[in-house]
Amino acid sequence: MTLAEAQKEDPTTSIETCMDLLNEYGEYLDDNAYTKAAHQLAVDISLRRMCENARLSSSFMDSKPVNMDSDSENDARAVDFLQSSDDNEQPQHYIQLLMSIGNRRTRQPRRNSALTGREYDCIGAIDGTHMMVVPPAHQQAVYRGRRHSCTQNVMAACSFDMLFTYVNTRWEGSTADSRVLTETMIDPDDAISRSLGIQYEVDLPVEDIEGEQEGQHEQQHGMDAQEAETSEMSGRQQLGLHETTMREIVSVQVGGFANFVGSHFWNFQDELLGLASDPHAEPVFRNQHTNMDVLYRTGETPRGDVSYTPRMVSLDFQGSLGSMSTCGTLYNESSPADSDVITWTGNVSTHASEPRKKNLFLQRLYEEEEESSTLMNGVNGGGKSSSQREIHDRDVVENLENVVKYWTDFSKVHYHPRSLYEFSGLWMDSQEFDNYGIGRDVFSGGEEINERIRFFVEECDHIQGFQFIVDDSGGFSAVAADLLETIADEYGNTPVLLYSVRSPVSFMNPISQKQTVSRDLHDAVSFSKLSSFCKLIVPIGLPSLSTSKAATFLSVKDEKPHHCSAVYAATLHSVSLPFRMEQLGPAADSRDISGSMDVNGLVQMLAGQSRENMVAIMDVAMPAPPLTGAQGNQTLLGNLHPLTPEISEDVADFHAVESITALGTFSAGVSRASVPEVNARVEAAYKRATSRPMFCHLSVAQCPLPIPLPFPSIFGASVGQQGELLGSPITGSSSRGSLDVHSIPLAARLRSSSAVLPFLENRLGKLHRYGIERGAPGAQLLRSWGFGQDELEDMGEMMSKMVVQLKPDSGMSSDSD
Amino acid sequence: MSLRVLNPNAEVLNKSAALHMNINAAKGLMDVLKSNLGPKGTIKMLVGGAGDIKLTKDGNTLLKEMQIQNPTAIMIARTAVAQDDISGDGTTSTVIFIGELMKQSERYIDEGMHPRVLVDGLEIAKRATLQFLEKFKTPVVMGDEPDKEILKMVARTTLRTKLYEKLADQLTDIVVSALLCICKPEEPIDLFMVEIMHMRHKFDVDTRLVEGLVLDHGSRHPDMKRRAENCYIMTLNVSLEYEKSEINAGFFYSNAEQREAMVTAERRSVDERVRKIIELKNKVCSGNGNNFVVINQKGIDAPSLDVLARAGIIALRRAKRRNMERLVLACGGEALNSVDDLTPDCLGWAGLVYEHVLGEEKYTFVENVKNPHSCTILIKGPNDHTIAQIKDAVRDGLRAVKNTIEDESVILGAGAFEVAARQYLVNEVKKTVQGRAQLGVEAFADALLVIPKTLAENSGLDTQDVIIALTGEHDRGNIVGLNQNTGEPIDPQMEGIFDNYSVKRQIINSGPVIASQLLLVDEVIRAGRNMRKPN
Ligand SMILES: Nc1ncnc2c1ncn2[C@@H]1O[C@H](COP(=O)(O)OP(=O)(O)OP(=O)(O)O)[C@@H](O)[C@H]1O
Ligand SMILES: [Mg+2]
Repeated sequence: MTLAEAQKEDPTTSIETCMDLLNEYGEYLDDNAYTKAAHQLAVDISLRRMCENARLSSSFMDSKPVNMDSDSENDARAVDFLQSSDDNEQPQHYIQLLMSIGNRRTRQPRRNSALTGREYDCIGAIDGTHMMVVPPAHQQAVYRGRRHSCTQNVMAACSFDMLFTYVNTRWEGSTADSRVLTETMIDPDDAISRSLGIQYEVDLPVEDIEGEQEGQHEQQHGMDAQEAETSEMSGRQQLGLHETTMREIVSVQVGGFANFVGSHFWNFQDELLGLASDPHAEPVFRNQHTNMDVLYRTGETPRGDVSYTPRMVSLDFQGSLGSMSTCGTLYNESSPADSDVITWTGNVSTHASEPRKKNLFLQRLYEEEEESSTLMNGVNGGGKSSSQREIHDRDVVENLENVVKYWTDFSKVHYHPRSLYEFSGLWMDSQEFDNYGIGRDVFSGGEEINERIRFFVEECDHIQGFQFIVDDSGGFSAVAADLLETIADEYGNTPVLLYSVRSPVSFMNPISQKQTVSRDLHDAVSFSKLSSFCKLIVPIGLPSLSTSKAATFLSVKDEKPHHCSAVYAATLHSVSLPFRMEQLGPAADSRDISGSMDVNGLVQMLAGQSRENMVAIMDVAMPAPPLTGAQGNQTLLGNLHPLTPEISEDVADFHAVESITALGTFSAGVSRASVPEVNARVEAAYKRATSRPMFCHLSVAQCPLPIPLPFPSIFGASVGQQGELLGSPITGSSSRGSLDVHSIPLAARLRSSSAVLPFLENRLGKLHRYGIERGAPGAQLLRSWGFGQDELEDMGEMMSKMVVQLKPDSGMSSDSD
Repeated sequence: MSLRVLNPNAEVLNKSAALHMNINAAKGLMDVLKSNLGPKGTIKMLVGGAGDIKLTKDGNTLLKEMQIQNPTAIMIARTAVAQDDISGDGTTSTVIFIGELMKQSERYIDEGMHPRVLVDGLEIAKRATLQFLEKFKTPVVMGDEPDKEILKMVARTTLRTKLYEKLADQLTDIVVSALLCICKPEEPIDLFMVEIMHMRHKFDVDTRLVEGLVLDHGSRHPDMKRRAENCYIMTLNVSLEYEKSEINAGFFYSNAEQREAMVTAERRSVDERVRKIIELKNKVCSGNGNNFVVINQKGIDAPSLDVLARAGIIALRRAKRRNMERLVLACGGEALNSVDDLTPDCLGWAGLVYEHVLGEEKYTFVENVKNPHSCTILIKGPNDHTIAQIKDAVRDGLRAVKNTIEDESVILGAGAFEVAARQYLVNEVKKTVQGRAQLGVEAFADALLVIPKTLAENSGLDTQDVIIALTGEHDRGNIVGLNQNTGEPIDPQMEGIFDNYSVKRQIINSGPVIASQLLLVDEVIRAGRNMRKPN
C-alpha cells in the first residue's frame, strides 16, 4: 500500500499513521525514492491535510499534538517542504517562516539550494504561522485573528537537521504565537522540549487555566514514565545563544541617588574581589566562579602599575564627588609642578576652595594604602582580628553613620579617571533640578560623555549589554534619555538594562497642588521616555522603604540615602550575578553556581518571551531565609517583597515570567545549601504554591553577599553574623552593621507580571489627566518642557500599549505575522 | 503672582530694593570677571575641594566653574555663555558690559530717573551703535583663497589673550592652517572636521598640526603591524561582531557539541563579511607590498581580529562617529555601510599609519594623506588642566578664524571700536534724541568705555589718563586703541589687533537687552535662599 493509497482510503489518516507507514516502507526504498515519498507525505498529508481535516471534523481541535520522534531518521523533511511548496501557497508561507528563523540574518529565502540545518545555523527552531480554515459558523469568532480571516495558529518545531519534530495545531487564529509557545511549554507532557531533547530549569505546570481557555486546552496524563525520563536529562534550556567566552558589560550611573546605589554596588564587587584573593577568607568566597572581567577593565596607571577598575561612567552635579577627585584615586600623580602655570606669563590668581575633609573611613583607607605600598605586601589582609583594629573599626562605622553626605564618603573602590563626570555650569542645586524639562536643556556635555562611554566600549571584545542606573526623580532622567538615545543609535544591537532608582527622600518634601501636577507629569514623561530607549526597565524605589515588607529584617532610615541605596544595590548585585557567572556548559553541574545567563538572555526572557512587557518588578528577600528553618513560616519565595513602587499584591498572573537569583542560601541554620538542593527546593516550592508564574529561571550561587566595612548599619536585631535569621533577637542594639553581620544570604527576583499594572496605569492616567486632555492643568507646563501635543499623544499611546499587553482579556486578540 | 502661590515662603522685595539687588549682582559678577580681560589679564587657577585644579582665562570656562546662585547673576551668566555658544568669544566683554550698563544706570536712577525712560535711551543707543558698527568694520575680501595674513592677525589677537606670546604665535599658524585645510569654497565651514586630540606627556608642552587624523585608540590584536606605509584605508560602519539576531521564537540546544556547532554557524555570516574584506585586500595589495587598514565604527570581536590579522590587515574598532566623516575627507574613499559590492574605489589612502602608545593610552596616526580636507591639532601637555586650557584657546582661535571668513570683515580692537562708538554717540546721536532719553544714550556711551578702561586697569595703567588720551585722538580723527605696555594710543591696524565683527555685534545686541530686563523689574521673588547674602 502506498501512502497515497492509504490517504485515499481514509482521508482523516493522522500524521502518525502516515509516519508509521513511511517508516515501515522507508526501509525498502532507495534514498531517492525515500525522499520522494517523504516529499509526498509532507505535501499531501501534513499541515494542509490537517487543516482540511478541520473542515471535515469539528472535533479537530481535540486532536492530539503530533510528536514526531526525532531519534528516527524517517520524519517528514522540512527541506522537502520548502522545495515543494511553490505550488502551494499556505504551506510555503509557513515554511518560509519556519526557515526564516535560521535564515534571519540573510533574510532571503534561498529556495534552490539544498538546505541543511547546519548551513542555516539552526539547531532547533520554533515558530508559528496561520493556516486558513473553515470552522463551524458559531466558532468562527475565535478563529478570526488580526487578518480578519479564519485561521488556525499552527506551531511547529524542527530539529537541527531540519526535521519537523513537533507540530501543534490546537490553537485558534486569535491566539498569540507567544501563548501557543508558552502553553506548550507548560504542558505536562512537555512534548516540545522532549522533542528537542531539552529540559527547562524550572518546569512549572499550570493546571487551572481552564476557565480562560474555555476548555480548549486538553491535558494529557499518564506520561509519568516519560516525565521521569525528562527530569533525568541533564540538558538545560538556554534562552538564546551563549558564547563560551566572557562578554563585557558597561555600566552607566546618572544622577545623585543612582551614584549612591552604584557606590554600594561597586563596594560589593570590590569586597568580593578582595575576598577571592584572601587566603583567610571562607572557601565560598574563594571559589566564586564568577568572572569579574565582565564588569571590570584591566589597565595601567601612568606609574606603570596594573589597575583594575570598574568599566563605568558616572554623571552627577559638580561638587557631588565630595573629597574625591574627578580623576579618581589611582591615576592622579599630582606633582608640585602642577601649580606652575606654563601657559601664561602674566598675572596668576589662585582661588582655592576649602579642602574637603576626609572622614575617618576614607582616612583609614588612605593610610592602609600608604602602608601596603610601603610594605609591598598587604600583611593585614585578613583584617578584623586584632583587637586594636576592632576599636578603630567601630569608630569608622559610627562616624560613617553620621557624616555620609556624598556617595564617595563610603566608597572603597578605585575608579578610572574617565569614569567620573561632573556637570558644570548648571547653576542650580538638586532641589531645583527636579523635573524632566529642566534636565532637557542642560545636556551640553553630551559629546564628552559619549566619548567616555565609547572609550570603555572600544575595549570590549564583545559587549553583552549596558547596565544603566538612573536617578529618575528629576532632571537627570532627561539627561539619561538623551544619552540612551545616542546609545541606541550607536550601539543598536547591544541591549540596555535600565534600573530607574529613587530615594525615599524624593517623595518627602511636602508639596503644593501645582508641584503635585509637575511631579506626576514628570513621573509619566520620565518613565515613558526612559522606557522607549531601553530593552528592559526596572523601576526601583519605594516611597517609604523603612516601613515596607522588604525591610522586615532591616532597620533602614528613609531619610538616609546611603541606607536605602544599600538595599537596592544589594538587590542589583544579586540580579546581575548571572551575567558574570562562569559558563560551565549545559551538561556540567557545579556545586557553586548554576543558571548563568547574559543580558540579552534575561531581556528576552522577561520582555520578549510570553508577551511584550518591558517593565520588570524587582523583589528582594534580605536576608534570605534558610530552605528549611526553625522559623517555619519564612520561605524563600514568601519572603520576596517588591522594591518597585505601585505594585498590586496577590495577583495571579499565569503568564508571569520570573528570574530568581539566590545567593548563599542556607539549608538550615548556618549550613550552606548546595546548588542542586536550592534548585530542587525552589522548584518544589513553586509546585506547592497556589499561584505561580508560567516560567521561571533560577540562578544559584553558593557565595553569599559580603558586607563591606562601610556598609551602613541597617540590619535588624534578628540577623545573625552570617545573615541567618535568629529565633530570638539580639538584645541591646536596634541596628546591626558590618561589624556584627559579615555576610548575608540574599534572594532577588525580577519578574514580568501584570502586578505592575497599577504602576503603568497611574502614569498613563496622570499623563492624560494633567497633560493631554483638553484644559489639562499641566498642558502649559509640558509645553514649557518642550513637548508638543503629538509627542505627548505618542507617549500616551505607547503606555496604553504596555497596559493592554498585560490585561488578561487582551491576550487573545493579539496576533502575529 | 503664580510664583507666590508656588512657594508661600517667598519674600517679595519692593521695586527699588529689587532694582538695587539686580545692579549689585551684575556689578558683582563684573568684578569677578574683570581681571580676565585682554592680553594683560590675570589667569585664574581654581583649586577644588578635592584638590582638582582648573586653569582658565576664559570668561566662559570661569563662569561654568563658578557656583553661581544669585538669579540675576545666573541670568547674566547664561547670556554670556550663550554668547560663547553663538560666536565663540566675547564672554568676558559681555559680562563686563552688562555690569557697567547697570552701574551707569544706577547713577541716573539714584538721581530719580525712571528706569523706563533710561531703557528707551539704551535702545536708541544700541540701534545707533549697531549702525555705526557697520560703518566702522574693516571689510576683508575673500577671494578664491582667503587672505592668510588677516586671518593670522585675528587668530593671534584671540590667542594672545589666552596664552603667552610665544605659544600663542605657534598656535596661530597651526589654527590658520587647520582652517584653510578644511575650508572649501562655497561650503559652510564645519569646525568639527578639525579634530583636537591631546596627549599627556610629563615633560612636553607642544602642539602640532597633523595633516591627517589621529585616533585615540589602536588595533586590538598583538599580531597587527604597529607601523605601515602606503596604506589603503577602509572606512567601515559594519559590525564584525557576531550578534544575536532578535528572536521571538526560541533557539534550543541540548549539549555542548550542538552549542559549539551553533556558535560556529552563527559566526559564519560575520566570517563572510571578514572574508569579503580580505578578498578586497588581496585584490588591491597583491604584488605591490601595499598595506590595508580597516577603521570600523562598529565592533570587531576577537575571532574577526584574528582572521584579519592573519590576512595582514590592521583593524581598529569603535572609531568615533565623526572620524568616519573625517577619514573620508582626509584620505578619500567612502564610508561603507555594507561589505557587499566592495570595489577599490571605496578605499582611501594614507602614506603612513602608525601607532603610538603612552601608558594605557594608544594613538593611531593616519598621515601623509593625499589632499586632506580634515586634519588634527595634537596638543601635548604635562597635566589635564594645562591641556584643557590650551584646548579652549585652540577652539577660540578656530572660531575667530571661521568668524572672519564668514563675516568677511573685522573690527579694530584694543578698545578702538568702543572709544569710536562712544564719541559717535556723544557727539552725534545724543543731540538727535529728545528729552531725558538722552541720558540713556549717555549711559550706554559711557558703559562702552568699560572695555578700554578695563584693558588699561589690567595693565596697571591709570584709566583716566588713558581714556583722555584715547578720546582726544579720536576727536582729532585718528582711530586708535590702547597700547597695553605703554598706555599710549596705537593704531590697531598697524599692530594687527582685530576682533571679530560678529562677536562685537552680539555683545552690543545682548548687553542692553539683559540690562533693560534687569532695570525694568517690578519685584523680585526670593524663594528659598536669601539673596542679600554674598555668594
Ligand atoms: N594686544 C592687545 N592690546 C590691547 N587690547 C587687546 C589686545 N588684544 C586683544 N585686545 C582686546 O581684548 C579684548 C578681548 O579680551 P578677551 O579675549 O580676554 O575677552 P573676551 O573676548 O571678551 O572674552 P572671552 O575670550 O573670555 O570669551 C578685546 O576687546 C580686544 O580688543
Ligand atoms: Mg576673547
